[in-house]
Amino acid sequence: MLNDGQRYPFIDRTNSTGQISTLPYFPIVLSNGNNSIEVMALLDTGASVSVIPYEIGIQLGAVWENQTLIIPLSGNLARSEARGLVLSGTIGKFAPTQLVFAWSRSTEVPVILGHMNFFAEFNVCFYRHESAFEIHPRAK
Amino acid sequence: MTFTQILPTVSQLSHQDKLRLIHFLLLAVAKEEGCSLETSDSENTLLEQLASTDAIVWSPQTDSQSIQALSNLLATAQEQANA
Repeated sequence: MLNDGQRYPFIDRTNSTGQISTLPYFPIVLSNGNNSIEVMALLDTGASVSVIPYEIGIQLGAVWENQTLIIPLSGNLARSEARGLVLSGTIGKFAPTQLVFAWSRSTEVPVILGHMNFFAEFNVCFYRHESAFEIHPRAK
Repeated sequence: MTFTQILPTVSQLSHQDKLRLIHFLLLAVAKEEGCSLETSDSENTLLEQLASTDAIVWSPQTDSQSIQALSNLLATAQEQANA
């Protein structure tokens, strides 16, 4: 086990049909200037990019029209336009880290943390048999 | 009971039951020839878990140019934060 990590339990989520999925969700504080909001984010090792839904960006005071970098997404987010947005993310006791997101027009997608750039900044150990995972900032 | 005796009964089965009968016969014939096609309990459990998985798979992807553009956007923000 690595030292100085932040440990979280897997979370059971029930979908619209009543089926339960156990997923690595954890709380993260996202900030944009003086605006901050705590959200539950999904670790997604299959995602090449991190994503936030439209309303989270709005709540953080971001202006859609000011974000000019268009990010085409594939899969079930392909129909929703997405634009690049840099936010600050704070996990537990760790120092804030700048994270870049594809800000999606979708309001259904959860906050997703993917390779660009969450997994470039944090190491994650999954202990699935213990139903837990640990997050560690990368060595700098 | 002979094949000709059972045929009228089989023809009255529903479409789903005909498929079940085909599946049953396939497994029975395979077993007679010493070949088991039945899945194990653990395989069945995994298949049931898979069937109950939420259909929504997010895992968003984008192209390499967009990844580079996001990297540039981040670098610019970091420069501004450090200025």
